[in-house]
Amino acid sequence: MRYVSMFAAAILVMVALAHRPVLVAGGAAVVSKQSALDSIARQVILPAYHDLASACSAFAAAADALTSAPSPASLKKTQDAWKEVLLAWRRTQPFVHGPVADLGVSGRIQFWPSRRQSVDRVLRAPRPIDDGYIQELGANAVGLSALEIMLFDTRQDEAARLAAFTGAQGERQRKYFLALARELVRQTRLVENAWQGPGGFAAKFGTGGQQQLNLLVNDMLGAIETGAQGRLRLVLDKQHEQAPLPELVEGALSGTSQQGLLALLEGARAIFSGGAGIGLDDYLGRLKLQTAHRVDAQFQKAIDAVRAIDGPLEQVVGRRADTIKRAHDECRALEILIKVEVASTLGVTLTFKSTDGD
Amino acid sequence: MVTEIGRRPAIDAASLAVFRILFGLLMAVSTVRFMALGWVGEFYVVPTFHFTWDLLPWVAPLPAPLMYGLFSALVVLALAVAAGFHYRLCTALFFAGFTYVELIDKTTYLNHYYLASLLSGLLVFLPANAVWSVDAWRRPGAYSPTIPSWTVDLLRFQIGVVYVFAGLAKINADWLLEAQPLRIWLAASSDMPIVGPLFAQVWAAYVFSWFGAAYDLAIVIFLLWRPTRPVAYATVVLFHVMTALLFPIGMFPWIMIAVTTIFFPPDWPRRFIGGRGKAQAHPLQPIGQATSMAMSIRTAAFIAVYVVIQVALPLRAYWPGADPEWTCRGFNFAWRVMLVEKAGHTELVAADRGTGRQWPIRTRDYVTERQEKMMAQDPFMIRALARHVADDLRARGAGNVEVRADSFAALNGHPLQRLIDPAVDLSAAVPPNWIVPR
Repeated sequence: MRYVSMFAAAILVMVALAHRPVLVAGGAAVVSKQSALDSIARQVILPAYHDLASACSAFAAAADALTSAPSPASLKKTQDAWKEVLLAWRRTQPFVHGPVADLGVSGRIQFWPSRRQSVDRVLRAPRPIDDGYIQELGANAVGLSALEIMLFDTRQDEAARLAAFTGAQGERQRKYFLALARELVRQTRLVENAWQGPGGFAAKFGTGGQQQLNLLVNDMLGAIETGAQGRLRLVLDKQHEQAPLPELVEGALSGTSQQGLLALLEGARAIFSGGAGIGLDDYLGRLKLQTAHRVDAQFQKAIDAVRAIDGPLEQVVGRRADTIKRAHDECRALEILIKVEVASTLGVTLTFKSTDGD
Repeated sequence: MVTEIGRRPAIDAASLAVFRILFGLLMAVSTVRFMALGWVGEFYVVPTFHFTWDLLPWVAPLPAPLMYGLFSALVVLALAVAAGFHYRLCTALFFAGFTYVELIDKTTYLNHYYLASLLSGLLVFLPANAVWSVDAWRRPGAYSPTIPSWTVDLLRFQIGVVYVFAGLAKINADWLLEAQPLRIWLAASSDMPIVGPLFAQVWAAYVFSWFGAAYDLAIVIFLLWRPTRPVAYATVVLFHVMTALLFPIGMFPWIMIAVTTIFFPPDWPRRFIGGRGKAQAHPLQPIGQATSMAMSIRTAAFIAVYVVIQVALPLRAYWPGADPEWTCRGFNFAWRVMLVEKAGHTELVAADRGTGRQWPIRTRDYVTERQEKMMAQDPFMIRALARHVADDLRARGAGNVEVRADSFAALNGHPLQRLIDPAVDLSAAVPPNWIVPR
């Protein structure tokens, strides 16, 4: 009994020691997984959704102006506002779990590949455009891609695009366009609201532990693998094929393919670095400082390489294939670093069920 | 002609019977769990390619209905083993079926599956149905209150081998000097209530690592020595319950807790049932009079060969340059338990030797996501898939192709590095240094 008491006392002392925050030089408490997750949620992801919702509101205001008084200036302003929304949306893409998935709004904010036929079908349909109709439309006829087709249709010139919003024949497109812009505001506000507040997802995120960390790393990895490296690979693979590239490259209509990719990588890096707060790098650095430094450096290399493309992918691939290839290789190196070294250092399970047991 | 080499003490058959019951029940639970988790389909039905073992390349899964039927049969057989019903036949069938399943695909290898195969194989030859079995109840000839002591000793040896080699494997720089991979795994469990913050401490990882190594190396001695046995078994339970809570290692902790009871005196179940002082004569199951039993030369030879194999197989890992955790040479069948946190990434590239044209291979066209992840850590599996891909391409008329691997891995928190020389054609004979040393 005496030994049992001594053993229990030893355990209690160890637990008490472990609960005492350990200070590093400068007096800052050592980063814990919970503090990193909490900070990422509040300092990076929530602000990103706030920016997205704000960008959507600005876009809706621009859309209102365009549909009220179509002009080259209002069209240009709406196009610019749309690009801001797209880039804000891209910055949220490195984390796709949580409310955006739970509320089922992701596809309604953006669906790729865009379907011009779906948009044309709505424009030709006899049914009046109202909220009920918009709610019934599938993802391929709503959201950013549908709006992109109406704003940037490359089959038409600027005058024709503007004409489509003008006069009696443009009335249906104006209503459709405005309804989609407002729907976008509604969807993004839904997501933002679900993240914020005392009972919001941001509050739960920090206490999600290893499971949340798994999702975060997997999502970030998926964004880099599919959203960045995969898109660059596609452009390189398809450059000599007969199919017109704009149909295959996301953001080709609006000329945002490279900017979107850059925003995606910047969003991923923000999660990793934690913005102004604590990031994955701080938690990772506590376990393996060199790995944290390596990932940070590789993020920079990948971002620099994508920035060096300096133009829409589908437009520059003919003359800057080498630059795109370098960007692809840097993104691939980043993907491998996260998939192999970061995942194993953080004990993260990558997308599949652990089969360590039976 | 001499057929005996001497007599061995006769011991109470009770502990071996309990071993049989616990083992059979755990195997039944384990197999039901395997089916319930959908792993029969995921591991053996869905994949179109399997990573077979070099010595047994012909082992292949059965058609889906038969595969599900086999697993159902394994559940029934395991229960029959537990009940001691047609014991030898059912144990032999369970051993054959279970081992066959484990030999289909390298990616499903787990040390405790291997242990389960070995134990079921041994049980075929041991009189674990001598008491407390349907056989003993139905056929008086099958009943024997005593059994030769070597039967229990052989099982103790087998379990001892697991612990000792698991302990020896932990004597390495990563485990002792870096506290890896426990440092990674404990940090991943730092969200647990109350004790979680303890796991986030680096010193805790060192304490766990050193204690774990010392525990594995010494536990058999403490289990064998009567004065320390109860405390030693209590630590076995504590240790394995803790690993069950911390790590996703399925049934392994429960199997080890159950099978380690074999270290108790052979009559412990009777003491447990009847209370202290009734060790020799439980009223319902009296002990027989035999005090020793003959041991045949055949039995002695079987035991000797088995012991040599079981000691020799784990020693492969210590062959100079093996580096089993990195190269996977000598890693399996060697009780190198919980030593590795490894992740990998592999892309295969095919090339036409004639034209020099290269193109990437989508590995997911050949293997499942799970197989791909497991393969990416093991150069021999990567090579097996490369050969399969080359054969497939040639069969499709690709002609003179070679397949190389762009492969990276990270082990126990070390920086990632190349696993395989990217210049080597894995579809042909490989040079000795095709695995990049760490």
